[in-house]
Amino acid sequence: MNAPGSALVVEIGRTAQFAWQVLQRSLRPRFASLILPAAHDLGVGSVLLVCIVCAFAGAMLAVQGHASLYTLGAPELLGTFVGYGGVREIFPLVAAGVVGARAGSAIAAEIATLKLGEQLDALTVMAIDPIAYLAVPRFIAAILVMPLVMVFGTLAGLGAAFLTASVQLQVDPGSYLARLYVSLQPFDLWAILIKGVVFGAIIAVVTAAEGFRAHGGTAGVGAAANRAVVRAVIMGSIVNLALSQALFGGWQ
Amino acid sequence: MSAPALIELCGVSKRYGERVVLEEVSFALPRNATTVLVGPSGAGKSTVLRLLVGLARPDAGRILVDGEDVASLDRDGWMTLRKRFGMLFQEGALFNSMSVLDNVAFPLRHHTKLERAEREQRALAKLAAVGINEELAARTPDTLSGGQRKRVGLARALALDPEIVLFDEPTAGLDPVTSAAIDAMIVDVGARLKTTFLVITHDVHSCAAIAQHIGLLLEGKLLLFGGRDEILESTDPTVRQFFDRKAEGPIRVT
Repeated sequence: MNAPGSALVVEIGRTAQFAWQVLQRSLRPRFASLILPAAHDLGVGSVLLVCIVCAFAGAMLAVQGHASLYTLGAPELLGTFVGYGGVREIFPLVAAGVVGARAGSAIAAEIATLKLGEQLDALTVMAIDPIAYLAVPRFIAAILVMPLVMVFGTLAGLGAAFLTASVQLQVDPGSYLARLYVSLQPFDLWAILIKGVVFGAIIAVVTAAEGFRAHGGTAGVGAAANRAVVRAVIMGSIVNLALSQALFGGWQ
Repeated sequence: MSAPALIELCGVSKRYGERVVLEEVSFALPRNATTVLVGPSGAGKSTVLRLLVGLARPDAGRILVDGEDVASLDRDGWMTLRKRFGMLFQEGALFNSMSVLDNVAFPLRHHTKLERAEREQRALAKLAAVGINEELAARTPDTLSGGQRKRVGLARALALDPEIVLFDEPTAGLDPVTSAAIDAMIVDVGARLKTTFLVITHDVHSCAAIAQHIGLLLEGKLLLFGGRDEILESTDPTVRQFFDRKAEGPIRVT
């Protein structure tokens, strides 16, 4: 049991087991009325923050992209750069990071508080499955809402990048948009939606799992929230790499 | 043959890692009476409750409900069985995100087909029975006192008219006057409902006040189990030490 890395394997196994329990129960959600409030918390509560952070990321992407492309004498290629780098990678990842940190820590802390206050046991004794009651509605809400949040974040990022390019960097708006338009395909929208579903699932499952595993008094709540965010972000990054490689890695 | 006991433990053992919490505990819970399991902290009292409601599984021995071994139950089987139990948790385990009334109506909402108005009426009646009025019912649990939260917890435990009600340290953390009031409430509700109560506590005053049957747990073993007077009047030095609250005696203070 004490071999190096065995703890990691045990943890991955536990989270996978939890994910399986959530998935099974999501096929027939017993507490469908809780999905809408969870979606509201997750979506409405995060979308403004996501848009703000994506907008800043878009502006910086434009500045640095312009700096690189200017040396090549092709600043109008900035539209292409933002299209590929921003829409496919930066904006979705930033959006997922923001939601993971904000909603993820909230999910973990809330469930951990219930666990440590014996409310999870109380649910079980009242013949209500805590996973079905607490994790499943948040899971379904996350996979429904996350793609939309990512679309909004991407639009905000694109808007900020365009403004920065045309106003500050003096790139010709017409050629910028033309480059951007050519670089984007309908498939890119699908890619955002797919990433949204996957990130939503990861955030909900990983953070809820940490909440359910919380232990050790009030400090346990903070520790669970902390672990939840770290794990969701690490796992999100790994899966993002895998997804990007699969979708855009040139294997097609 | 007489009817099987409502709940029977046969040689139940439980360990957490190296630590043995329960060792070959056997007793049959008398029907429609209040039984108190007493013992010092760490004697395994809470584990008995957790085993009964399926929050933990025994390592050895059998737990029979109506003569049926609960080890054979799957998840759905447990869910069905649990509807026959009500449990009052130590700190109440109420949801602060909803009102007291909604807390008590919660099991009704999920396990009955009652309309909202009917559910609330039933919940208010349960709350009234434990001395919580409508004004308190509209508040959230975090604005109540410890004693009030325990009352609400009991009202919630009684919401589905369970056959068995489990109490986890009902007077823990309460002042003596409030403790006495909670004891009186348990006696009162027990007398009216004629339901099977199982109370675990280390409070000997509370035990003497509410028990009809007493079991004494010590270091995971059930030392004695019998009628209230028989146990309270026992001359066994261990029993005396515990009920007379003496530091010196067979029970080692750790």
